[in-house]
Amino acid sequence: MKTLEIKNICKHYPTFNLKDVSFAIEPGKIVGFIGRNGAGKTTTLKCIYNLVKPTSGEVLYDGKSITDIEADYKQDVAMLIGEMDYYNTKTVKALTSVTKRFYKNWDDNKYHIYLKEFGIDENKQIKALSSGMKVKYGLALALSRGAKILLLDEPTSGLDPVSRDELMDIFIDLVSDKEHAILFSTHVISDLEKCADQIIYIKNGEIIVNDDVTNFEANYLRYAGESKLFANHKDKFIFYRDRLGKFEGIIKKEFNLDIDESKIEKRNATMEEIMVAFERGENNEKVAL
Amino acid sequence: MKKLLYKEVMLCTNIQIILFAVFALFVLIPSWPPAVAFVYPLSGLMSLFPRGLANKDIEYTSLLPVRKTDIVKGKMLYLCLIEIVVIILATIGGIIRFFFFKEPTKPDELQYFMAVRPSISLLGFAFLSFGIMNAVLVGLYYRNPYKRLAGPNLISLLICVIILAIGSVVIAFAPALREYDVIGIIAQASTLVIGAGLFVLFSYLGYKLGAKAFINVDL
Repeated sequence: MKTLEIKNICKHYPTFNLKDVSFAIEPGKIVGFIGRNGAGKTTTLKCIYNLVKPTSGEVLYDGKSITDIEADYKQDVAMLIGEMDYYNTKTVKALTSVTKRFYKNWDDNKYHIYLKEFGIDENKQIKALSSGMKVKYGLALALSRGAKILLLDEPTSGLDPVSRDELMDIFIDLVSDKEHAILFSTHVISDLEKCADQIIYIKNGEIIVNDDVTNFEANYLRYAGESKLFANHKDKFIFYRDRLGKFEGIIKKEFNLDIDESKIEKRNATMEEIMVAFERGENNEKVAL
Repeated sequence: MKKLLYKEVMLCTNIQIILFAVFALFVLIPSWPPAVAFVYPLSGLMSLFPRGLANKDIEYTSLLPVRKTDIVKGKMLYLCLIEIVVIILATIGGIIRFFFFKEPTKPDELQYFMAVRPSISLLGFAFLSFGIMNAVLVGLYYRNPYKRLAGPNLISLLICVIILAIGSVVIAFAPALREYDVIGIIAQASTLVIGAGLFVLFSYLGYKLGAKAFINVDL
């Protein structure tokens, strides 16, 4: 499979800047793209699909600039932004019959399997689909078009837990052939814990983490216990909560706390705990109530 | 490009566009200025971009495997297609009116101005007005497709109507552009060919202007 490389992308807006974003999407990987609302996830994805023109930097697919091979690139790379809510008065069937003509590797059989699996009625108007169904319909289109790389912006938003779980299994199946790759942004960190191989964390328009999921999680610890035990160590924590004599906090593994471990609770931090610590910690929102 | 045109026809055609395009047959109404038949269809075309905005047409098309500039080309081709259909309908109506409907045998120039007989040269002016309208509409619209709706629509509509009015006046005062003698037919055929050529030229120019602006638009 061809590799997608994002090289030093910058995008300047009056109120927001995407700063020197670089990473690569390799075959066989599910990459979770995380960050707060407004951190730059959607802008980055749009730059990767040439919907937003970067101020500087470039996106290379198989070593070529995507602007030079845009139509071919978009055959190989699928993008889904939120719900599929285009042409609301048209039926699912009508929209699909137009859409599928554009794809060389469209698989009608696969499409109908996904429709059945997702419980989508082809004769319904788009506007009659629920939010979750619109997301599923968009996924059915993206998964049936034979794309090698899927760029998905919040694909699990609006889905119930069972559908999210099913979708994660579809993702895992898809990349297991080592020919496909998925980059998806999400707020639902538990989804990433189920299937992501790699994490890219963006904060204020800047990539601050690009790592293997296991490495990422293994680098941070969560401590909890009585406040007085942590009194001399608080400054080492990225983020902590100290309330009514109970302390809990996230710390980098490299810091060795000289505390009797039998009196405290210590474990690897979850991805969600790390993300919250990153976001709230830097603003010195270390909560001491 | 065929796929994009198919997409435009299947997803962007609405009843307003069809209904107003059929109004080109108003050319059949005796003693009516035939140029009016080319104005009604514009009302349908003016609905194209506002409806596209409501249907998230640009967002959908930009996700398809097409170049960003092809989005503008597809829309321009669709506009041209509708306009050609309008001109074909008006031509059919004009032929029927010419052969089957009685009109004043020797109207004076004022009557020509008010109710000039359908002529081949009018088709040339219709082509020219549509071409300039395309250039203005598409060239302006794609500079900021999320906000600029009323401006490009009104400006292009006004220009189109003015050119059709000027064309009608010129035809009224230039017998060669309305009479069906040898000189008249040559003059009218020349007007049609020049008009059609300018239609292609201005539409292409509109596509180029629109595409150049659109490539810098963040979607």
